[in-house]
Amino acid sequence: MLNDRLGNIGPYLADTLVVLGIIIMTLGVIGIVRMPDVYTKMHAASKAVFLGTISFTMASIVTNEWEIIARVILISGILMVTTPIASQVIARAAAIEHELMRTPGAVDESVYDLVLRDELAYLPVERGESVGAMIRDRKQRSELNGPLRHPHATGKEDREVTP
Amino acid sequence: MHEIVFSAAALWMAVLIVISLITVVRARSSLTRVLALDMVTLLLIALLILYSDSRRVGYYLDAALVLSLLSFLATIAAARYHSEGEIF
Repeated sequence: MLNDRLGNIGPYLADTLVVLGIIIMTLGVIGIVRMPDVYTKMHAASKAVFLGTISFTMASIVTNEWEIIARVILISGILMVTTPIASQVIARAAAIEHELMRTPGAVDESVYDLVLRDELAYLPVERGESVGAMIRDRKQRSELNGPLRHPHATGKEDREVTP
Repeated sequence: MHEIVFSAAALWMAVLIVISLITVVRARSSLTRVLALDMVTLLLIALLILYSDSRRVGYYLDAALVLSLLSFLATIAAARYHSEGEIF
């Protein structure tokens, strides 16, 4: 049905779409290697690679076989639904754990609240993988050796946090 | 699709998958690992679509379908276990 209208440019159209998808996926892989932290890596991993996969599926529509086209439409629909959900779950996990932002100039405002609550003595810059892991480590150590106070602690650790 | 384009594309996809696996091993945080594994499965799905496109059989796409659903479940399970300590 489709090949009759396309004439003999069908294989060239498939070539073009495959090369386009390869280029987009290469950009995604470069992004996930070069980006500094998980928040910025998520852009490359979830959007660029998914777009390259969609380009491949559009290339396989040119094959003009019904069993391939139906399955490809099903796969692209499933990917279109599940990829944003998976990316959102990873982003939520990173936000709960207060994962470090290593991008230059990035400010993690959710850590200010922890500093106000005296769970954190200073804003971490380049240590460890996440602030949540640092706080867990700190609580374990304080259970072992008594309370661990930082220099600015006032003794009223249970005070209310006013935003 | 012409045969040479398929060969070059499959070779380059293999290179991309190997680079992503190296990223999985060398990642600095575990959420980055989960993200890179998700991307490896997306690249594998794309490779299977490329194979079925070239060979003109639909059997590769069954594997791609199952792989997409399984990678979705695995990513959600790993991320929720990392953030909340439980999956459900």
